Amino acid sequence: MGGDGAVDGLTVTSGAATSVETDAVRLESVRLSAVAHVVDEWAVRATGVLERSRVDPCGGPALAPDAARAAIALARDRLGAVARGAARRATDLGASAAGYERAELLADVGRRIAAGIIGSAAPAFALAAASGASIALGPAWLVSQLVSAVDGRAAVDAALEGLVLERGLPMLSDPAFVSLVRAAADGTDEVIAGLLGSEALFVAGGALEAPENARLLLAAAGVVGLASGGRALRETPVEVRRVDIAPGRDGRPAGIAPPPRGVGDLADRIPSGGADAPQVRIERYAGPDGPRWIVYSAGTKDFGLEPAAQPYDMTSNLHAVAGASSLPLAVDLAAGERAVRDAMSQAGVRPGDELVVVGHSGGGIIAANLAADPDLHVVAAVNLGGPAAQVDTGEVPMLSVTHAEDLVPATGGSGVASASRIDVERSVGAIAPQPGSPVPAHALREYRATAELVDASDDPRLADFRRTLAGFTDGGAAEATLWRAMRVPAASAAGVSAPTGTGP
Amino acid sequence: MDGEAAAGVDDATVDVTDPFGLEVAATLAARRREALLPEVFALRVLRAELAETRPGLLRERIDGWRDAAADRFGDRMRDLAAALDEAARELADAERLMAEACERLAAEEASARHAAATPHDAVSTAGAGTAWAGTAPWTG
Repeated sequence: MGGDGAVDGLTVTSGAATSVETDAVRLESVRLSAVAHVVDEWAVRATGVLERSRVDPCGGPALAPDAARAAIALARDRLGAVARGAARRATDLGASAAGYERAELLADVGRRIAAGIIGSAAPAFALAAASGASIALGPAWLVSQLVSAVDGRAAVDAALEGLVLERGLPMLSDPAFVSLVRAAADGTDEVIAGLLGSEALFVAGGALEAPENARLLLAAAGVVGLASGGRALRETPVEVRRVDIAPGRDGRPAGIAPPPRGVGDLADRIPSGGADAPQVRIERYAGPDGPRWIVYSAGTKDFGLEPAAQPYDMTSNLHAVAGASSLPLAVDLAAGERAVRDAMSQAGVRPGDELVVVGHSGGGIIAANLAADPDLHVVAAVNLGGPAAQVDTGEVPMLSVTHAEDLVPATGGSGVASASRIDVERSVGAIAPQPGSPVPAHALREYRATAELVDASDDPRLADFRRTLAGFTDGGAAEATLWRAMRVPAASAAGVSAPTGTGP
Repeated sequence: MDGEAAAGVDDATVDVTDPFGLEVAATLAARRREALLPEVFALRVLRAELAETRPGLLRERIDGWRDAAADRFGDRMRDLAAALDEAARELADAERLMAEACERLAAEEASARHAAATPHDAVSTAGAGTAWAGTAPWTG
């Protein structure tokens, strides 16, 4: 497993996530205990040889040479020490297995309780801070809306409502709350149970993680949509158009960009994706075997429940997260991802071309999904604050940057093991939330600052990643293009990127 | 007493001209060798058993367990495995030293028996037919 390191405020981890099969640990404990007995028996036999070799049957001082007896005594002592060490490790292993089992039980209970509380309290959050809660609680908040749409339920947990009213939006940036959200994202099924007051779901839902929850949520949304005629969380076609680039202020011709000097430059080039602004940037570099591309994707801009014009919205996010699920439920390809793929196609990206994909927030999970696509030749991926922990990019290295106070990455859940992912976490400290920015730690501006720290870090894993980037562009300039994506109503969707099911 | 002297015949106590003393010395060497050989074999069996069992005995990794504690467990297992290897080397050293002692005892036994069977100054072609002038070995 990879090591950890904290450099310049960055905590860098790599390798697969922690995992414990307690049965295997317990079995090894038993086996090691048997090993201890075997080695102890060797020590006893060595002691026997030593004792007998001391006695000369003919009355001499000793039977065996001193050097031989000294060697046997050393061997006996070492064997005894190994036997005792093995016995101690066997005991430790047994205790560890028991401890892991207790921890898993407690974590599971805590996760379910937390998720249930959030589920039952979701209307309270919605009342207190609708926009913030929609980001913070993600699926949980959306579930509350869905349930309300069906039966008009407005259960309010008075205690939690009071907490939100008392502490306000800064609570959303509390690392402890972020951890709670991460737990809740792994337990949307429990959130649903909390909303519906069903204990049965608490019991049944333990095996499902974030992507599966997202799929269940989308399936629920489909049922609700059919029942109510609503469009909530239902994907639409997307239209992508190229946007002209103005000439650079430093006199560079329009659309010509120098190679990025590092992760900081990559972060700087992610489009803002605001109103009427492009969400996708694509840079074309000349490689030795054909063109190489760096693709940048903006983050979520619309946190509304129903899809409007902006494809970078919660509907797209949820479909992107659900894309990692193995549940046999068909899910449309996220609008944001379709927009990026469409832009890549129009820009001239061909199968087999080498790619680097970069994204912030919802764009981060799009970058991760592209990196995990075996049909694309992605060389590296960068995720800044996206809920991408559950995407296994296989052998494609992915730099995933999160802030301890940012709950958006936490909405993807606790994640899956991925040996090639480098996780970088930084605490940005307390930043006062502003109107329209309920979670300031999620802002691209803050991630750009962290990306600069990544470039300054001497952590060898980050240095390797920077070398991969430098080798990719080989110092050459790029031809850059910008792309603007829009959702279009299904009725007028001829010739545009239509949703495509990704269910197994 | 050093290792070389152990399990051997102290030449200083043997009168090479004393056939009885030589017989006693040969018998002592034989008895000591007979007593030592089973211990050599015991060591050999123990060492062979250790060598055969050693691979896979102390596993540094447990499938399905990945975290910092697993890494520390691996370190401890490596330490124990190294100690086990040292013990195996020491047993091999002891076995070699004791086998060499057995060979020395065998050589001493053979030498003493040979000396005992050969009359001291008993035969001289130059003095053939003359009166025997030697000292009877059993007279000391």
